[in-house]
Amino acid sequence: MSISLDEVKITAMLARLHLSEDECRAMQTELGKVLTYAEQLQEASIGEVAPTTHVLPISCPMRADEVGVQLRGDVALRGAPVKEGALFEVPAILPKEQEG
Amino acid sequence: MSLSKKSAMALAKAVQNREVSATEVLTEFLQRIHRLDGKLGCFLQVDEAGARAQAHWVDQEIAAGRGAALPLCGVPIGIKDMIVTKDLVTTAGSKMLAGWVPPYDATVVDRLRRAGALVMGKLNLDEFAMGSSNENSAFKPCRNPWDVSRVPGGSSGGSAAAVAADLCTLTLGTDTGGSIRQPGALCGISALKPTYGRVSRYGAIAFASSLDQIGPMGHSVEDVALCLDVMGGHDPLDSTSLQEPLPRWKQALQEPLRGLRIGVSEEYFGQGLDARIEKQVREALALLEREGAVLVPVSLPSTKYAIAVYYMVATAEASSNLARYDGVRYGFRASLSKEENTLQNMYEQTRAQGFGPEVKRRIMLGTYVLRSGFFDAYYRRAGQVRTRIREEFAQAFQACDIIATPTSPVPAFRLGERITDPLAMYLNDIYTVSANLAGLPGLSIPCGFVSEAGHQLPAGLQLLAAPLREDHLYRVGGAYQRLTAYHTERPGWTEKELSHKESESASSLTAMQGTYEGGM
Repeated sequence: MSISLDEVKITAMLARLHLSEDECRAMQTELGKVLTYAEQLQEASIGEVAPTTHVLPISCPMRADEVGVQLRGDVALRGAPVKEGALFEVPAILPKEQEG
Repeated sequence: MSLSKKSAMALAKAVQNREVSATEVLTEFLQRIHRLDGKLGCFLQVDEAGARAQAHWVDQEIAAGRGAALPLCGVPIGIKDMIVTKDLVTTAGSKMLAGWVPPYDATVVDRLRRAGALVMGKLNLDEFAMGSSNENSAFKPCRNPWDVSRVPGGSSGGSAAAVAADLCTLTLGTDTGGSIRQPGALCGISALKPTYGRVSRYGAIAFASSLDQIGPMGHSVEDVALCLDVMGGHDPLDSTSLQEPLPRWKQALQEPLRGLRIGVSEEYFGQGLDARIEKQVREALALLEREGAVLVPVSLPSTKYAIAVYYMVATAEASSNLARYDGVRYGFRASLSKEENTLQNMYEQTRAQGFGPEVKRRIMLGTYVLRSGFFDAYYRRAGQVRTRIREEFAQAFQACDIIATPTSPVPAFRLGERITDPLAMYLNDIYTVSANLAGLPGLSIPCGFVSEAGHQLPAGLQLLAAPLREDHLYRVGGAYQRLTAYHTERPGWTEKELSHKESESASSLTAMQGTYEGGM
């Protein structure tokens, strides 16, 4: 099963991963090989069996709604690449308004 | 007997009985690390200050008569750098987390510290636990002490090699598709992936959340069983951790083998398996049979799909788990010019520069199979075959108590040999991934050696059991290690290297003295 170069680029955009043209081409070959290998799953006789997403028969465990140990703000900010005061700083999320 | 050759049990006892202090133990192991690890590359970071403080605390507890409460007192343990340690840099083997200091300890680390273990430092791995050779580490490769031109396996390569070279008595690894068991086999040690949910994943950097488990690695089944007993069990901080009680390991280790049924699935002895490894594994089975175990043929027909299933499921989960590495709150952020400094660019460049090629490959694959047009054909279908794999194991375990297989199809290969073909590298996991897909416990133990290019390379026997049946693994592993001595062997390289280093420092000391006397 091959994957087109366009598919590679769309997938990279979804994965928020910048790939150069060369890297896209290399990725196309490598992913293609693995996807071809995975084609054999089409032969498996599975009937209508439900997929396994989790091996444990548990549902979400609950706890009392009580305040416990918290991560202090200054500790949470310690690893921040760029920060300002008590805030993580990032490039603008919304585009600047066009002027004139 | 040198302290580094003692089992975890024997060492803890010696410290408890004040035959030796925790500080003395630490000194010996630090010396070994300083002399040997330059060549081996097991450690990304040695925490000498932290280990000294811990040893001091242990010695105080012993002096105060509280030694009995410390089942691992004075035992040096290394932690795979995929597990967070408070105030000690944790990298996941990646540039993305280079220099990152976690604000908390993983539950397992906390429990081991409280049990008196000496945390020696952080061990080398394939980046984000993705790999089977430790060659994907962003920092440096790790070498197999049995032949330093070869890989230790992966992704817990540093953890396995550190035990083999006696740089630590115990280590922790993580296993998502075989990353504890395969390096365990390639380095000739005992290595356990517990039942999914046995050990808290709180503080384990997530790769594939339905597959990941932390597990112990050491020189014997007894030592890994002890370690699991200390660190395993329910943790309210991990909603996937089990309430079920841990196995009664001491009893299980001693239980006679007679009547235990060992399943043998010919699907695990097919094409691709090195004939010399097959020979060792079959001999091991014959030995166990002579001792009273019963060999039972079982069938696991979906085994051939296991790698394909794994590389759909694990990569999909990884693409989700690694989305958090975006340069915002921690870790690496790419520097961008003012014009380039948009949110989109920050994400894309941070991830392009922070992740290595294998991680990118897997994120891409995982993102692709989760896309709406491809979800059913790849991811959903893989999930269905995963159900089949679980059902086949459940059925097989009606007829047997454990299933025995080779751990790795090949012995340790040379650095660089398999790195250019990702799919060839993936096939190293062919016998190990099914246990993760089905949530089963799996133990790899040494079962002999293979001669290659003048070196003896370890071969590993894998034992699998039904969920929660680590006791069966201990029973068989314990019996096998009473009958054989493979697990007591050590690589010749380490002692040679140590005596070489000693004579080096002795002669340079003499030279220095001569100069001093002559000069002044």
